[in-house]
Amino acid sequence: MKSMRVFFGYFSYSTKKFLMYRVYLISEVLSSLILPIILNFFLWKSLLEANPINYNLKEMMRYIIISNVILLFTQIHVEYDLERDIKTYRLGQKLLLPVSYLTSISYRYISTSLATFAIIYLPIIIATSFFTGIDVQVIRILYFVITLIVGFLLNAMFSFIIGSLSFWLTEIWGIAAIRNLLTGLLSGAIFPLDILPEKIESIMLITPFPYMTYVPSKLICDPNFNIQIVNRGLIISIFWVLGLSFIAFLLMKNGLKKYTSNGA
Amino acid sequence: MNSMIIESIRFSIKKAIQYRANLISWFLADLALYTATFLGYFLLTQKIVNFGDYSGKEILLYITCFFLVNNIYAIIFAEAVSRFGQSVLTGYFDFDLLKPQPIIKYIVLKNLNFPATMSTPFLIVLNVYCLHLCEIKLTIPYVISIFSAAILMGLLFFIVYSLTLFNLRSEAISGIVLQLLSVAEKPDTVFPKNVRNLLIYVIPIFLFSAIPARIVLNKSSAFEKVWCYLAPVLYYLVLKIIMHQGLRKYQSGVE
Repeated sequence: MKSMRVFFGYFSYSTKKFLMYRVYLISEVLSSLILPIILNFFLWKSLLEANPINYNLKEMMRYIIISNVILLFTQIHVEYDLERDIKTYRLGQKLLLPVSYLTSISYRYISTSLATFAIIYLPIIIATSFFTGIDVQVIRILYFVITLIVGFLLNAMFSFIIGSLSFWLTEIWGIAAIRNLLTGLLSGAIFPLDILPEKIESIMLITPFPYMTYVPSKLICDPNFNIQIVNRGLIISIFWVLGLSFIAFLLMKNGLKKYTSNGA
Repeated sequence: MNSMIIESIRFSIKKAIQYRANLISWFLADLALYTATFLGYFLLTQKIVNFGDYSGKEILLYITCFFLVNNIYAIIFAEAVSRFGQSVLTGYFDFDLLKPQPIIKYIVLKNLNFPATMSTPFLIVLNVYCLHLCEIKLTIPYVISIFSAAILMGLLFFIVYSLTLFNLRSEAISGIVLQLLSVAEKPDTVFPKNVRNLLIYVIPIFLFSAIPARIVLNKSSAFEKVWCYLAPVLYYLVLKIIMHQGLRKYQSGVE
């Protein structure tokens, strides 16, 4: 109960902060969503006219919009905050606070993502589903929520591992860039993975990336999406979450032993 | 002038070697950016054969042209434009104004970005390999068009960041501009003719990818060729005018 109260405190703060800087809100929506959707519309319109792909324009646009929205929701960037805290005196100060450092940083990011999701992304998903006439079964919505949480956790763990490397490395932005680009490409946010040859698709489904975007998006967009892929994928992705969490735990534990802070 | 350029290059190299972590980060980020985009298109060519007006091999050449332009821009201008924007906001721009050198030249030479050169050999090899795939020879007009496009990209970013002189929040605009740059990665011919013309002649984003690629593929019109070489001159004049007007409005350290 106390934990929930703390979380709602963070959630309320995140919502207020999010709505405070509206120029950034508009700029974010324009640059991360509207422009990519317009560009993808022209690109796929032309590609689908000239090439035989098992998608029509409506299906493709529905997938592109929903997958981009999901990627924006699941992709969080804890690494930069971790880096700033570790490289300065801040971590030392934060470790002394009554709320544990990990709880504080997790709550802050979860609440920010939920606030953004509720204000921007959820209405877009509902509007897209409504206007493109998707008929989603309740069971698939349940699967969607579970895969969304798993996708969020996978992304958070990657981000956390990269941030924890700041205990040993001077700069982490190069590694963070690799993760961002790989996630963008291999998660299926740029194009659906099932337009690739079957062999490549099956290799990709072993990696954690498709569970960040592709699988949740297909659950909403494609009523015929094989639920066995989702079941198998959930097992694979949970293994990935556990493995990555273990690495993150080890990095944090050893990093804290190494960390020193003084002054200010 | 020559000695100033040499000293600027020396300074940039020394700075890069001193901050090796930054050097490695640049290399990793560049490598990831170019590999991920190339891999994306390569995967698509496994199933898609026609990209607008381009075949699978041609689209790979197209994308490597953009990489080269982007890389040359990163070496010469990337650091300079962002420092310029920051210095206007913080007030350090006053010191730049006091230097006995033309302001743009001074900012560019002071902020050459040596770490970006780490990925240049890889990009050149990739581009030459794609030329070989398309059975095309490297030509001088193509090389000039690549440099011309990189200079134009730098000038466009300078124009965007010089809006800070008018108290506009350029970092909010630069997000949109960066996203607009991603247009250059898409084949120009997939867009309607009006949009394509707009993105060649008004916001000349396709000059960073499509026009150099079309020049080497021998698909460009005479007008496009002329515009490719002339656009940097025209946009330099636009930048000079904006800077001139902006300096009248400029107040030291608006933050």
